[in-house]
Amino acid sequence: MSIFEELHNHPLQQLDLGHYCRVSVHDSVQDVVQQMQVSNSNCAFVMDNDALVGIFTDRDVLQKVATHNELWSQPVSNVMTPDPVVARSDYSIATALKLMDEHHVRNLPVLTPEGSVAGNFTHHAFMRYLADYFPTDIYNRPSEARRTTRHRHGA
Amino acid sequence: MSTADTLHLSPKDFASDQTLRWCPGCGDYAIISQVQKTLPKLGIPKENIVFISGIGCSSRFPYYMNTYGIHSIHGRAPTLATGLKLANPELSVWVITGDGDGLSIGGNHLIHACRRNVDLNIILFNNRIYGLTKGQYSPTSPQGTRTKSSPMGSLEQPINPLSLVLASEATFIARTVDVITKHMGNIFERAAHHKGVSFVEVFQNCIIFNNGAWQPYSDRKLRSDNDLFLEHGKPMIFGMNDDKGIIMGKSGFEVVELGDEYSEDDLVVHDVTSVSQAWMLSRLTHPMPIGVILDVQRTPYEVAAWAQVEEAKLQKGEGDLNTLFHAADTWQIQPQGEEVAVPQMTVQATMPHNLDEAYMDEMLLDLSKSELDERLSGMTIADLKPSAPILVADSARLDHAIQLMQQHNIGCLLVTNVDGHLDGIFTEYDVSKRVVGQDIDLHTSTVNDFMTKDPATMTLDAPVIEALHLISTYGFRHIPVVDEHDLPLGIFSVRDIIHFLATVL
Repeated sequence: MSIFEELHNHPLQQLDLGHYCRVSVHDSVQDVVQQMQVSNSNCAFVMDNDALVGIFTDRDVLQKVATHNELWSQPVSNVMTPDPVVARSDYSIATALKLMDEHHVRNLPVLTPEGSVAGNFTHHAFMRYLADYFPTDIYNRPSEARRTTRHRHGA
Repeated sequence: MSTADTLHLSPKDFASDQTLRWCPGCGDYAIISQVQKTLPKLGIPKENIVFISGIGCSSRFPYYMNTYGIHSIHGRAPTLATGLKLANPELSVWVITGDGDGLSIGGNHLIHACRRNVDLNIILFNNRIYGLTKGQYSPTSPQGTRTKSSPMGSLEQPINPLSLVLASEATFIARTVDVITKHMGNIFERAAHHKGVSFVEVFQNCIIFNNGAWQPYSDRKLRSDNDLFLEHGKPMIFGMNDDKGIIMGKSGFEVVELGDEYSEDDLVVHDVTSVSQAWMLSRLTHPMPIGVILDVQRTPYEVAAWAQVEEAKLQKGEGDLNTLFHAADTWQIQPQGEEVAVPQMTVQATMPHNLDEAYMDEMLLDLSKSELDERLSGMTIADLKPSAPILVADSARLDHAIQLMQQHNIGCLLVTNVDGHLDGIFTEYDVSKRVVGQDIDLHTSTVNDFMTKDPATMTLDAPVIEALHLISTYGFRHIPVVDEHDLPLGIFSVRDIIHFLATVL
């Protein structure tokens, strides 16, 4: 099977979808930013009990919060992106990539067919998947391209 | 004491300016990347780290590290390292060796470093072949391996490195795989934290002389059925669907299918402190145990040795080297008669300098290109049309820089110095993780205080696959594109790759 076929056949649930943190819809903006910093997450899933009601990302921090201290104490629900674009865990990777590209998003929450949160499909998760498929091409290269030799060498 | 936080070191700080001379596609690259990623987490200043190697491809390692290093005598790296650690126990000492250097030429040295339990981190790159000398069988080559030095197949039984070091009383023993990079990084970190000797075997692929030697254990599709990933306190489960496990049979480990007859409760629970379990794991080949096999505590050699020195001083007082030197009979050799002149010799012959190239051309294997390589072959950064950069001066105020990102709705600014050269990169990650909520005055701080200095860069003619390497190895999201004078031309982002794939899929 070619890689392009695999991208069409592989469901999202087989990837590492762990790059997010969960926060409550009642948390303040300050709390959420802190939780994202502590867990080193780029994306917070805003939950109302078990339901995903929005996401809040590093881009939101930059765009909405960084220069607006007055928003600190407000609930995150005022600044989050409500009803974000989501993918289902049985979608193929190819479908998810197209969704990402079309909607210009970097975080794509993944829900099970029953509607519960399965994870977050991110650029980073996809890059790891790709590197895992082609380790020799991707990992086994010198880190700085400018410092390599064109020939195979021994001593 | 310094910590990882106060030192602010990055993987790049550990890369030297030397040209890497491993073959394109060699597993050594993945290993050095992970070592360079691990070191900043340890909180040890660069000048207190030493890499010591013997001879072989892997032994070129110290040149590429921006730390102290010794490219030493064949097989004797553990011995030099022992002496160094003993002389200065403050150092973090790493030994880089291979299956040839560590197990044939230096087998004895390795054994004794292990039993002394010197606080060294020994990484053995096992590719089951002599790579540097161009493809003879090594001490870990399976019986029957046909090479130029064993045309009818090797006769010897291979050495099992883990069993060997376990028998030599090593206190930390682990195995990892060059392409399972995250796992490898975790293992290096644990090895570094272990007090006493740490031995890590890395299944490393030699793409030229022994390509695919570890394929069953490294290939993404095969490895879940062939690798047993060990976790302390967890039952030994493996298989594509976590449907197989290890039980304690009458005479050792046995593989069983989980289901009606056996459940998870019947499986052996991994215990890193059990030497007898470690022995059985070291002998197991299907599945292949990957992870920490043994982790026990014993007083390191240098600690015990210095304690003896202190004890001796208490009993006998400070020593005096001169007294020791003259303690026994000494005598002087007197010159007799005329000195004999030693004839001067001059070497006339010169080596044809292109011999190596010619030999390699003959040896070049027809390496079939992978599919990704074919798809992306010839594609350069320029083909993906990176966005034009938004520039900011390194002296710019933080609030101005943030406003600039807000106006353009972008996550990354390229920071330039007065000459217009690229000085750093400032991203939304820096804003959201290091600025926001941190009690920082946006009006008085400058971009210079928060940017990443000297970021990795690419030129427009660089292959896309090189960008994939930097992104997956270091987790970058943006790579500045510069011209040959380091003047910024654009920003390449992961989004560009995703966009390309989304349009061709």
